[in-house]
Amino acid sequence: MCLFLIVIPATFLALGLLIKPILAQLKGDVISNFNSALIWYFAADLCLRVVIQRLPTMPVNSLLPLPFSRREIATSFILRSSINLFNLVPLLVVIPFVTQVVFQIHGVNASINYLLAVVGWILVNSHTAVLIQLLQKKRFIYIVIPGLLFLGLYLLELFNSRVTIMSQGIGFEMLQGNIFVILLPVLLLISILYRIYSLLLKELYVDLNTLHRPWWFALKIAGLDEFTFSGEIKRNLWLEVNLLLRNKRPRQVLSMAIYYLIYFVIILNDDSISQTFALCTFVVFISFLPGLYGQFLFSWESTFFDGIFSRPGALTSHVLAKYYLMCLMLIVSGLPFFVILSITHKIDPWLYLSMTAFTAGVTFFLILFVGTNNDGRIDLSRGHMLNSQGVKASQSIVAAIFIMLPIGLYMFFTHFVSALAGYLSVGIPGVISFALHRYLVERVVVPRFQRLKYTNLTGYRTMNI
Amino acid sequence: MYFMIVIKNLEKWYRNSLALEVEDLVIEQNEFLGIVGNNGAGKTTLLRLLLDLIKADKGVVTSDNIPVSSSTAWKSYTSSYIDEQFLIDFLTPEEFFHFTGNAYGFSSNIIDEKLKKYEVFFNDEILGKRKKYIRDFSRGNKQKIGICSALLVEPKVLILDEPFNGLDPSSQAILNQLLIRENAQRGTCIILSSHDLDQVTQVCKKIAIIEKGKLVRTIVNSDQALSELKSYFSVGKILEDES
Repeated sequence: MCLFLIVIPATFLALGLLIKPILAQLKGDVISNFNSALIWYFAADLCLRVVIQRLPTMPVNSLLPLPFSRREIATSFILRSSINLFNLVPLLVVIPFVTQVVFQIHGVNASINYLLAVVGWILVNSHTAVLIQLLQKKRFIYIVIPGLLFLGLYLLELFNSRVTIMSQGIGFEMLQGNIFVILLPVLLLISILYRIYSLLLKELYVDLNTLHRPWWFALKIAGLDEFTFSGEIKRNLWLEVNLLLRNKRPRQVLSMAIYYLIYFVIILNDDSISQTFALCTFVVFISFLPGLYGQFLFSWESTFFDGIFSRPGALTSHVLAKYYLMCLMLIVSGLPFFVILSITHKIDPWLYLSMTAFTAGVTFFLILFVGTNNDGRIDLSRGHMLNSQGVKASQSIVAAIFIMLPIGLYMFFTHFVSALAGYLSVGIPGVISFALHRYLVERVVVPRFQRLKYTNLTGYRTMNI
Repeated sequence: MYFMIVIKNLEKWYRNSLALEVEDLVIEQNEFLGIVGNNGAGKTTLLRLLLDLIKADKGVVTSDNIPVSSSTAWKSYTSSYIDEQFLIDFLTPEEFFHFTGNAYGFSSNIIDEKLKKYEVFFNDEILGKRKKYIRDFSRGNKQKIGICSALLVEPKVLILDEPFNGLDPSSQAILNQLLIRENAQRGTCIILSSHDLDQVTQVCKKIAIIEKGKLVRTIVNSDQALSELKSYFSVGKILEDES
């Protein structure tokens, strides 16, 4: 954590001090170049904040039993949430930029106008993130709003709607002291603060940070197997979905994945990246969400596995439920982006299909198999950021192998045989493994889990922070 | 006489220290066995071994002639509550009861019907609390949820670790009645551990004393059992010394 607090500000400060020579190397004038990034920065900043920025709920919980009114506590919450690292670090870039560039070219008034407007937008972003974090406790879906906003801007830019040019224009108006551009963040900030304040007054209880289920999602997922899954798999799948949606750590993992997926789509749409890099990104992209979930199998249940293990119910159904959930994640996370990438002609549909088959058949089976070695306890109520509980170095190595395996196969056959052989080299093993998934789980994964059960169960009971 | 649980030459070591050594212990089909002992005596270790949650270094435990470590068939008629590790705390109590009940083959309607029997035990604090997850309940109420989830699946063997801990006096009395009724009416073989000598002598038919990992004595519950236990654990002597 200390490293995080030092490294991030130091990096931003270095960027701030070197911003003038860096921007001078690009085409156009320095101020226009800086301004063209404004909208993109604030959109990306909001995406990051809703995932990483921490709500000051701990101090609130400790204040609630004390003789303070709810209004005082709500005000304290808002003030505390204004002071965070995310509000400081952009200033480490903006202040050097204003002093080195804006002040020298446009003078003191323009510098003050510019700085005030930027600070206003930083505060808008900060409190919008707080509001979204509060709202997503009720409905998880709120967490995707910043992501959709970013994606929307990106698609607008992609179809020549000049978001970057608009960003330059806004920056220019800020320099000119356009009253509307300076007042807009102030008005937005007031309305957001009012919404936070009224929400807090209504909901300020000790269980402020208690998660409330998006029950509809769980029901929908559970309902999916009415036609195909047996009762046991259905029950386990339902439990797994609730585990992911109702606990802090898996929710943060899911939120992170959503933003990474958007980031991958942007990378894949970049014409300047090499083909090999694009292929690597693509393989990571399609298996990212199930991979993030899969790396902690079977530790997710560590805090209640004694109960699971001492009750009846085949371990096979338990493992199969996880397998089907990963398949579901593969489809849900991959398909919308596949559509976008297909529209922009940045993806080969055959490559998508063959890599998806490999991931569903081979990679998922390997994840389940390797997961039997995970004997670390995971406290579901702790956040995922900077939390190494349940994480082993071997998981990273294994993840790298899972990525390299299909890439290696595909590249080898494409290079030495043909493009078709490349597709088939990953597609065929994938389809075969997928067809045999039940057999592989029953005969390979479950027996291995049974062999390691005492070690794993002991590990799950051991508090390791 | 049919022995439901048979333990032979059971040993469990943690590193170099002996945690439990039980040469021979048999538990009858309709038995109500209380296991008493001081902290660290090995009570929970014994219960975990009965449930195959830890590996025995030596010996065997069979349940209805099924070795617990090599088969899972015994799980269909055995239910248990050892600690909070048995609760799925991100579920509501209703969801948890249904999840557990379904695992034992009971439909949700039957589980709802069975839950009515525990309304007095729940004291209006467990059911119908909309969207309140188990993790948000008090320790005593979590204990009630865990015990009830084990009771409502109508097991042949019921294993409970310190079931009276964290319960208020009324709930302890109700639990006493529930357990006695379960054993008497359904013939459930109940094995529970406790520090509370009064409670154990009120409900159990037989009491096993464990000390420093060894089964020291098994006594049949009688009018003298409580004083015998108190004298064994020197409760009277300590009080006399203090006065």
